[in-house]
Amino acid sequence: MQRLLLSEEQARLNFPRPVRNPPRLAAALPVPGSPMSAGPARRAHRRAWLARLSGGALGGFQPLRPSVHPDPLRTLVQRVTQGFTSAEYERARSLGFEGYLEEQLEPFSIDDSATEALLTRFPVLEMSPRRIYNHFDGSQPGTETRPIDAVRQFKSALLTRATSSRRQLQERMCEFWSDHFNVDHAKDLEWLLLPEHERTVIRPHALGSFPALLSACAFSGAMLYYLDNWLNVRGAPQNNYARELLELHTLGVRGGYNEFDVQEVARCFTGWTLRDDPASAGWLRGVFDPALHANGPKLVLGHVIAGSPPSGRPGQPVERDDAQAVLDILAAHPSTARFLATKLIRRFLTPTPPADLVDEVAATYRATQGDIRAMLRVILTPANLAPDSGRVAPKYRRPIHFLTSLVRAMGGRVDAPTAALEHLVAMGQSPYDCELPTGYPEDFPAWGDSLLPRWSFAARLLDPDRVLPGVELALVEDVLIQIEAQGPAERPGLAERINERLLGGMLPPAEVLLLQQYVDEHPAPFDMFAVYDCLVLAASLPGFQWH
Amino acid sequence: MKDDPRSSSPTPGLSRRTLLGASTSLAAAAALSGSARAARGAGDKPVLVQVFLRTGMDGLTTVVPHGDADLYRLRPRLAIRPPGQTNGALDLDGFFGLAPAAAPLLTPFGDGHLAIVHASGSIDPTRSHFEAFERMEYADPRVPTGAIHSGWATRYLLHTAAGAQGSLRGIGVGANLPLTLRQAPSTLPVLEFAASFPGPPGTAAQRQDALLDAYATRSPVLHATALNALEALHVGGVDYDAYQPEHGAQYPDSLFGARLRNVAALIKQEAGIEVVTLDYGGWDLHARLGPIDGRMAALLDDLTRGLEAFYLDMLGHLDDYLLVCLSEFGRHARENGSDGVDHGHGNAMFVLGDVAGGRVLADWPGLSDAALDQGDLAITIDYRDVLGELLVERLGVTDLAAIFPQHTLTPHGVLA
Repeated sequence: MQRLLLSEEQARLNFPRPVRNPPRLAAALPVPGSPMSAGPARRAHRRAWLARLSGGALGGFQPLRPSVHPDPLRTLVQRVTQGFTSAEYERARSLGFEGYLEEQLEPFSIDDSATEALLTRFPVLEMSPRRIYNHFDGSQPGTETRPIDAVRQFKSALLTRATSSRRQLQERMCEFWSDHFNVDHAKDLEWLLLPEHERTVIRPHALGSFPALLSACAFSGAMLYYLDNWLNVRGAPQNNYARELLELHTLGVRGGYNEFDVQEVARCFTGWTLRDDPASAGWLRGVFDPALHANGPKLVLGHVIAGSPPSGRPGQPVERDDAQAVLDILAAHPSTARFLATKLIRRFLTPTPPADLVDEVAATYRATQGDIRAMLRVILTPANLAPDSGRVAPKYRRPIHFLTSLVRAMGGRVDAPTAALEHLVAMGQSPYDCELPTGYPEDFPAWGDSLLPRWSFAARLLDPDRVLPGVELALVEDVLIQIEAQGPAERPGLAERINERLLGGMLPPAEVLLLQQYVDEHPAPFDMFAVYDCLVLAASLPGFQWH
Repeated sequence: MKDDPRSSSPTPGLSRRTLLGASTSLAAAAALSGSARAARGAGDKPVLVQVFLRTGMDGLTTVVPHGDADLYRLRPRLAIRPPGQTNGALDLDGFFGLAPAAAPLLTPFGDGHLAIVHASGSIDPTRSHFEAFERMEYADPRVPTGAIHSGWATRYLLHTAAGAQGSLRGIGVGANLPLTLRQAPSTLPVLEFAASFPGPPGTAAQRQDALLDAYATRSPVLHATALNALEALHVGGVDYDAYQPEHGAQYPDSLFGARLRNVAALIKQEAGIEVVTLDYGGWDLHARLGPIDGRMAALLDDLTRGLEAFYLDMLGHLDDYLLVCLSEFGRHARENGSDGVDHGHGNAMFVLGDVAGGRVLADWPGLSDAALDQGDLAITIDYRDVLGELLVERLGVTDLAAIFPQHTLTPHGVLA
């Protein structure tokens, strides 16, 4: 176990704390004296632990997981939000399970003007590729007009919406579809295309009709560019988009297609390219160029596609051309229904979707022609969310969800381009940065090998000395009031109050005990710095990594 | 311009580094390396370094079979021209040559320390990146489908003796571990090679205790991760900021260069690490391949300058590592209409280190229509045989079936 811990030199240093001038501290609280030292007893305890732990526990994972809360409504709030808050839960209680779910399924009937006001700080969101290119040209030093500023704006806006929006399920679904229809902003010009793609493709359809979403996505400049279909031409088709359309967007890898189908789908999509006139307002938007299209019949999944000249014109709805015919075939395919059902159940209920529920949800897809809300209604029921249903299991928080959950737990929000993005890089889930068209992976096996960046984010966010730029947290004194921690006399029961009032009760009893022990043993003065020290530990515990 | 390897074909044995005039100290270093190897016990294994060229590196561009006329029939616009022509390949053996952008590989190749294995790869027929990752990284023979969910390097660690108890055995450079190391013992992802325990420093030890306590008792699934996270605070006890590469090695100023430099520092520390993986992405060039001055060339330039720097830096530690570069599949033999190449099959692999290098090992299947596999370069050397030879001959593996199930080793002479 050599080098497991900080070196003795580091442990002995007991770094003096910087002079404090806490920007968010209303009343002057006592400045602590020397922090608690790593005394001999402590070190002996630690060594004893390490000796025990090194006895072979290092290898492999064991299948123990935290538990699902007995209250299905609480689990619903955990699953449909970007972070549980007591306030959201109380609102859900007042609306009832069905009332809350139906409210969240109709996002555009929820007044979200406060969030929209915050989003005005991110002008890139409303811009066309043309405008972004002109505006973020780096020509005016000192202003936020470099390309990197555009990227920081739309990445931060994702966190603003996640932390602030009252349309929480809409945000969850936008995240889901952004994974499903992944585009990587770092691919050359993609950053110009991404905001419009979010605005006109993902967000309007996130809780709408899957076939409509699929079509919007297929002809979106961002997707045509990301998967290279804009360069897919007759004579020598190129199948990057065609393959991922079948494998990742609709049927799934074993959904019943072969290499011939891939080639034929690629032929059907020849000619779908990007408007390349930089002077036009529609620059880099999807457009059909008949001259580049492979005419003639095609055979896709056993369906003959006649290959008649397409009816679509730039800027007009496409009806029966080859590409749309392919999308229709795929959207109606039973494999698509099962593939989407499985993915939605994995996102909202359990890493191991039960076959009977997949059947139910897939049947709903087919019966409703791909109504996303109808599928969610079948998935998010009180019966399914009951811990003994066999249909729900704890879900490991992905990094973005961990980050937004902690910000929301602390009564906070992202309200400007933020340094938190660097933490997401370290955690492995930088928004819009996934190079692979699969999008970021879903479950524990892909994320369970990294904890230090999460602990670092918790410590940085909850450092009462330093505001994390771009993130507004609740006032320290308000947090102290909420958890009744204004003085040393309020130590008893503090761990439980932190768990219940801030962390959504995700810490199991053993961890609450451990946190309370840390509270109890924390040296005097037990001031707000000590409380925030305890909060750092609370957010770093295993329980808060799940939801 | 003799010191510019891109302007001329190399003279065998006269590589760029010798031309740079560093030969005396390098020869001494190489000699030291040999004696160090003899002095150490048999338990000292080289560190296995995998560089995974994720999303399908185009081996027909990187290692050009310029002696196969069909290449120019299939890729009239994109194929690297034969040696001697403008932007022509850098000849290796009269049949294969390197892309001009991969010129830095001439250094280890000329020294006999780089073996290239062509028409190699994972024989699984999939042309899906994600399936191919699984097949290659799990080394799953797919009978039944998807039966294995651990990486082959994971099984290598499991089936060989651990070093000092509790010490770190594997590192995946990145935010998360690749499938190659999925569920590996004592293994962790490392994104930043230097970090400190977060939070108020005065209570750091107490929080560490509490976290270990919590993760040990409450969360066995995350227990190993938590332990590893603490160990990751200063991997191998190396001061990475102060590390000085040796022998004039100049790592490219890129993410890959910085990571490879840190890996070199770590291996030199002899901290007991057995496996290191790095991912190198960006190869999925369905459009605008750019083999001479575009995307592919830029990727090759960065990759191969990094490998050359690593090779030079590690000259005094030549038998302390074996570095393998591979990709989940190659690319389609025929160019497409977007000046790119779609997903394919057979590919080129690199093995760097104390190997029987300076050769392109291939049982070349040819690029005639009849020889292609669904339009792609066929595979005549299974990547498991390349890795298997290293595992059995150098890495102490006695039961290769535990690592590559249902596979019988056929060595191809990478090491001798």
